[in-house]
Amino acid sequence: MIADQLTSSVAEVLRTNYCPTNRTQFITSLAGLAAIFCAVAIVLIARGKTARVAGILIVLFALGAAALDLFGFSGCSFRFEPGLTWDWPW
Amino acid sequence: MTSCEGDLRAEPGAIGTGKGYYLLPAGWAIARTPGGRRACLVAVMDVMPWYIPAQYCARQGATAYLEMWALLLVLAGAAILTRRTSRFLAGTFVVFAALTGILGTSMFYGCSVSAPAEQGLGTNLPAATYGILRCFGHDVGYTAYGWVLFVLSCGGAIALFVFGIIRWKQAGRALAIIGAALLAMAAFAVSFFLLFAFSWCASSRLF
Repeated sequence: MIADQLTSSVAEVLRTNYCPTNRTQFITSLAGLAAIFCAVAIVLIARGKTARVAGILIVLFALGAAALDLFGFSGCSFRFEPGLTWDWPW
Repeated sequence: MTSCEGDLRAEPGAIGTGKGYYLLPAGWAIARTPGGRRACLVAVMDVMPWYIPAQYCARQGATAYLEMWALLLVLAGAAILTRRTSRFLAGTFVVFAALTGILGTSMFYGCSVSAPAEQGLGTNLPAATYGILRCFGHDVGYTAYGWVLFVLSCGGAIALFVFGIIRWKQAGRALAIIGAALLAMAAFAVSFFLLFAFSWCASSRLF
């Protein structure tokens, strides 16, 4: 498959907008958030019924958030557009 | 001439300059393999692959989609926890959860479909369809925030009303009904602003 010039340039714009300025910091923040969510969920799941439901919902939220963030992050090129960045995973 | 498989991707602008590529009708071209020994029949990409705008929209509206995802889970949890207390409440939570899912998916789909066109690429969609999808994907933060406020107001009003009638008596019941009425008015106001913003976007007015 080969791409025409306009499609290539638009794809490049879409790949550079809203990308993190620091990839390592972004991934570290995401992993830290996931760890906090998992810790809270583990504490809650060990308790009563209502807390268990809350724990399961927190795990589901963390999974969905991580999937969304990683999906968006995987589309970034190695450049970013100043003013249109995404430095935190929320 | 054979058909190429894999990584025959032109440098940006190569088609226009004709560097080793010969355009054919109906979206096809003849290209040389990287070694230059073979000629291949390749498809010309004139439509953006779906995942590039989808990834762009996931980054652009991450906060809004996370809010919608959190709200959907909270509503699902509320439906599970109230299914024995009140079937009506549980059913209401399920309906709101389904609507949240539908709205969130529409926002993401609308943004993904309209993002390439917003950057100047053409679209094959009819103007009316494109306009509606663009408005779903436009300013997802405002839509998500408004929807969260609307659902919380409605859910609070219904819960106060139901528990006020079932559980509480006299002064508590009166306060619950007054609170439910105030929350219902807030929900009405938020829904008005949401619909107004959508209509304004769909009407394509600048000011």
